[in-house]
Parts: sequence; C-alpha cells; structure tokens
Amino acid sequence: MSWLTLWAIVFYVSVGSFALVSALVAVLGFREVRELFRSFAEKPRERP
Amino acid sequence: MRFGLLDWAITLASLAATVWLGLLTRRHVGRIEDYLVANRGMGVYVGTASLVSTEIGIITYMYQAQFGFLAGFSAFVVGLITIAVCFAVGRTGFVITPLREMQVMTVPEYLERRYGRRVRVLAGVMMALGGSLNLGIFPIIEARFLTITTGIPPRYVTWTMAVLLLVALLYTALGGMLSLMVTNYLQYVLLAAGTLIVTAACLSRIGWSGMTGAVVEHMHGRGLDPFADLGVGPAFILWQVLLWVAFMTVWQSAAMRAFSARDAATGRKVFTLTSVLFLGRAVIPMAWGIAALAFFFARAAPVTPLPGETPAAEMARMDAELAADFKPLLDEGRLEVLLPRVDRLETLAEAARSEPHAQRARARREEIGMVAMPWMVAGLIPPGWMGLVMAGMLAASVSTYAGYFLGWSAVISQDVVSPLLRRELSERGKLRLTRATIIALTAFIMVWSLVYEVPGPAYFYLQVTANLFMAPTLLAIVLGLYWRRASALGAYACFVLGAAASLAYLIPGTGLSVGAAGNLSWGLAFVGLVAGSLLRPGRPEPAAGPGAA
Repeated sequence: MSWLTLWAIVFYVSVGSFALVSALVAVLGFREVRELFRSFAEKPRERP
Repeated sequence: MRFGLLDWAITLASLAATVWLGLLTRRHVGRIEDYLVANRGMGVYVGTASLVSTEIGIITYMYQAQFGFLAGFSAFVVGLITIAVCFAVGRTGFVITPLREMQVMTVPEYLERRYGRRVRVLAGVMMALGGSLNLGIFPIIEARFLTITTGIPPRYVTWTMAVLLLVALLYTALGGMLSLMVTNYLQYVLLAAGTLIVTAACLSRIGWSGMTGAVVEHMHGRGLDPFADLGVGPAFILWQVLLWVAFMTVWQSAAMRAFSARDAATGRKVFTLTSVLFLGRAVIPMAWGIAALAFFFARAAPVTPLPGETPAAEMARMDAELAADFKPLLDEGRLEVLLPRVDRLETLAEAARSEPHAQRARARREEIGMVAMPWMVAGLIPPGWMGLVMAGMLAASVSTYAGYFLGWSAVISQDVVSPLLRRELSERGKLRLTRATIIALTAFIMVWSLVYEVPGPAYFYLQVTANLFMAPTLLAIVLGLYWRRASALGAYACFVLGAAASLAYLIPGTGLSVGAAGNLSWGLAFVGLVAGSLLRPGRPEPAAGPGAA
C-alpha cells in the first residue's frame, strides 16, 4: 500500500467517524444535559 | 469583505445563547466540589462533548493547519498516535482510574498524598507556569484568524479577543464545571458543524486530488513519509507517544473530565469515545492546511530567473525583495504571490547550501503556513455559511478558554495558594479564591499575548510549554503508583530537571531543537526521579496541616 492510499484512508475515516460520533454526542448528550440539570435542581441547595 | 450582516447575526446569537446557558447554572453551585467537578455527575456524551470542545479551539485548528501546510500528509501520523494513545487510556483506565477512585479534584492533589505537600506545591507551580504560558499565546494567534475571516480591523481585534475572554470568564467564574458542561454541549454541536462545513468546502472546491497534487508537486519529495521527513522521525514519534499519554492522563483540563465523571467506568468510556474525535481534531485541520497549500499554488504564477541571472544573484534578489514586501503582502493575504517566491528561495538556498537564506525562507514559509488556512476559509466559504463556521470557531475558542481557565485556576488556587496559606478555607473561601484566580489568569493571558513572540512553529511552542510539567508529572504519578521506592527527593529532582530541558527551548539562542528538548525533558525527569529515590528512598513527607481541597 502506498503512502497516498494510507493517508486517503486515514482522512476519510477521520471525517466519517468525526461526523458519526458528533451526531451521536448531539442526540444522546441532550438527554444527559437535561438529567444533569434535573439532578442539580433536585439537590437541596447547600449554602457555604 | 465577505463577512456580512447575516454572518454577524448568526455569530452573535450563538455567543448570546452560550452566555445565557452558562449563567443558568450559577444558582446550583454551592460547594467547591460542585464548582470544580460538577458534583461528579458527568455522563458519557456530555463528558465527551465537554472534553473535546475544551481541547479544540481556533488555536488548535490554526496550529494543526500550519503543521499540515508545512509537513503535508506526514503530519497525519500525529493523529494516528493520538487515537492509539487515547483509545488505550480509555480502554485500560491507565492513571485516570486510580486517580478517579481516589476522588481527587486536581492532579497535584495525588502528589501530596504520595510524596508530601511540598511536592504538590512544586508540581502546582510547574503546572500553573506551563499551563499559563501555553494558554498565553492563544489570543494572539486566534486574533489573526478573526481579523482575516471577519475583516475586523487589526486595531480592534485585541478588543474583540478581550470580549471573548470576558465571555468565558463570566460564565466560568460563576458556574464552574457545571456551567462548562452545559455550554460545552452547545459549543461542541456548533464546532462540529463548522468543522464539517469547512471540510466539505475543501473537498468540493479543491478536492482530494488537488490536495495530493499540491503535496507531490510542491513539497520537493517531502510530505508523504513521516519517517523520512525532517522533524517527523522516530525521535519525534517517540516524544509524541509520551506526550499524548501524559496529555490524556495528567493535563488538568482533560483529567478534570475523568474526575467529574459519575464513576471510573464512565471516565474510561469518555476517553474511548474521545479517541475517535481526537483523530479528526488532528487530521481534519491538517488537511485544511494541505488544502490551503493547493488553493494558493493553484492561483500562483511560476517564478523564473531574469535573463542571464545566475542562481546566486537570483537568490540574493529574491531574498531582498521578500525582505521588502513580505509583511505587507502577507497582511493583504496575497499568498499566491508570496508562496512561489519563498519556495524558489528555499530551493535556491538548499542548492547553494546557504543556511542563512534557507533559514529565512523556512521562517517565511512558517509565517505563511500560520495564515494560509484562514485566508483560504475566507475565500472558500460563501456568506451565510461563513456565519455558521464563525459560530463554530468562536464556540471552540470560548469553550477552550473557559475549560483552561477553570483547569489552571483550580491548580493555582487548590495546589499552590491554598496549601501555602496553611489553614483550611471555608467552602465560600475556596470558591472566592478560585474565582479570583480565574480573573487574575485572564488578566495575565491578555498581557502575555501582547508581549511574547513565539519561537518557531506554534505547534512546537505549545507542546514544549506543555512538556514543562507533563513529563515530570506523569513520571511522578506512574512511579508513585507502581514503584514503592519513589520518594519526595526523587519527585523534586524529577520536576526540576524535567522542566529545565523545556525551559531551555523557550529561551532564545540556546539552539536546542524541539525534538531534543522534548526527549531530554522525559529523560532528565526519569533520571531525576530514579536517582533521587535511590539516594533517599524515604517515607512520604507528612502533610503540614489540613488538606486544601
């Protein structure tokens, strides 16, 4: 395999996986943000 | 200028949404543990968004693009090292799992438990110094991106950067890690969208074949084989592996995500998922740098000698002409004029073995490499889309400032100032101290970015300043965990010697190469730790008072 082929594979895998994982983070992260807010809202406020 | 009203509206709306979200969280923060590690409630996907958006800023895209512009596809090897190391850390939990299970909030906190309070303070000072110097050049480099892509006149760009720093300061100082996680989610979505828009524009307008053609035709046989290329040899690769292991395990802003995770398993999953995104963090902007090379060479006219001119005379003329008009042409973005001339000068200088000419040509190529990507983005992306790209870039920038402000101020306040006070602060006192440190750090960054001139490529400066403390910290932690004889004396020697090699690179005139400084830092830190521990394998120093954090 030539260097050019290797770098083409690395580049397209990078872009594809970046797009895919970003979509996953965008969708599933939204739910986690809401849970995080809820957990802090339910926690009794501690005044130092 | 191409940056229109719609672009400004999109950009400002994204900033306003970020501040609003950040401020929403401030009423939930009551204790230092809420503030620094969000009450350890971070999930996998928010954690991934938070870690990646903190570790991607405009600066990241600028120096990675510069590296791609200068080294071609050989630069991609850094991305491969990154994914391998990050994935391995995520799968094995190397260092991050024991630290998470100890429930520490900062990395030096472990060092106090293992070696004593003085080692914690020394490590804290080194981390604060390296981290602040590292962060200190962000605004000046990012300002260049903003000037080029938005058309803000240079005299106003300092104020623009000040506003961005104040935005980050505002919600970080008030909401701490909780604020960071929530804003980082939105910022990650914006930066991922911006990244993909620029990549799509590069592929549609320049194409993969255009990029490969530019490397093959204009890099004089370099740019493909990382082992053969100058600067990306075995020593460089070894240093990168060590550096990335340290980055994923002891870099405070990265380690804080592991400390904030719900449990150790969540922390490991965050790092595993992040490894995939970190491959893109390196390779995608490097490809933009290569695309910029292709973009400007495609618009360049060939440079030829004058009739009857000897190579030596041509080299002297080219050098003199560049000395006169390089800066104005660079500021105007006339890279298609500069690039072939610098390329020709370098070729002539190498053929004539004239090192002074070759050095000047390389320095000019580095300067072109730093601004080539933003000029290409300004030329490629149409109005409207440019606003989305800018929203993504500013999101990346503000999230990085916010994450680093919190990370380094946590170290300064918890590991340096607090232990030196020798008394336990109240929760309110700890919060006030950390917030005051964030404000002081912001002021330092603004001043440092105005006075310091970066030696060599920004990529190397950033890695060397990071290495100031990463090599000794990782070695002190790993040997502290796995070698019983490791002692406080060894830890002192490790930090002092490890930092000395990196400082030598930063002082102008020492002539130390970046690879040598990097490897020397690791070697000396290791020798110092082992020799010091063998000389005096004593027990850990007793803590001199109540714990700081």
